[in-house]
Amino acid sequence: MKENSKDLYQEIKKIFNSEPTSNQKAWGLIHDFYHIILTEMEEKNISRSELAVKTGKSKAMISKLLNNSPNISLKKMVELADSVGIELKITTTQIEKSKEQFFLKYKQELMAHTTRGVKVVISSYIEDFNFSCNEKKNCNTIELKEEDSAYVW
Amino acid sequence: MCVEYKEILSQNDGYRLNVYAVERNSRSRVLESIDSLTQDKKDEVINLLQKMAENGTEYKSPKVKWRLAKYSYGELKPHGHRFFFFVKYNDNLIFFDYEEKKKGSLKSDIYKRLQTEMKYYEREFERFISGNKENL
Repeated sequence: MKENSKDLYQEIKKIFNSEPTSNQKAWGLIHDFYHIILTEMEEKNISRSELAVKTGKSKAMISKLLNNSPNISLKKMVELADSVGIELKITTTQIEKSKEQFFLKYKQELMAHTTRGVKVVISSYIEDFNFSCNEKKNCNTIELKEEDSAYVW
Repeated sequence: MCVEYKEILSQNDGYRLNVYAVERNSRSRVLESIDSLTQDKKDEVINLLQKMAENGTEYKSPKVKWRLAKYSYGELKPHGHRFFFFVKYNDNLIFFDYEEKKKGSLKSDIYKRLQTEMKYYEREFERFISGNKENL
């Protein structure tokens, strides 16, 4: 322990103000994961016992996972996520940023073409971006009316 | 007894809540306990405190009880035998004490003592805040 409490306070304050270390980021992801799981459990009213049934694990194992399992494996994370009905995926800040850029470009294009009854074809954007999931199925073409534009973004 | 409140995280830095650690007679059990943790545990606690400050009471964690059932303060328990105690006062989280127990949970006597302590630190914090306002 530090002899001088002022030094200790400054030292701890400095840690909080510094860029997070890899280890702190890893803890951040683990904490975010539990926050998501517990939020889903509360919203969907899923008890720990029900979670045990859904995952096919014992109640003791679920308690261990939810209470003192700092190094939870990716597989266990996916199992827990599945059992509360959410899908986990790995992304990066860089991917999220390029998605934002894509949507910005898309938005500008939509706004430029939004006139009464104009059909906006966005499939090329989607292909360019290698966009996945339902958006691709649902948004190959969008019929926009002028009054709709306010609701798109 | 001289009590001070050391600001660890501030709304000025974009956090939803300010976080303080109590310092009593120039010593803070909370800060000293954080400092005595291994690097990995320290990183965990630092990140948990940041999450709490960022998200407020909406933040959910198996390691955080925002309010204990019979008492008006909360508990951050990063590991089975380490307990950090805090009280939420408006937009401020005041970490006022720390306890350690090798096995099992803490005895109810300790929780009762902490309740009294908490009331004291809450009152002192009110003075601290009003003193700060006067100095502005």
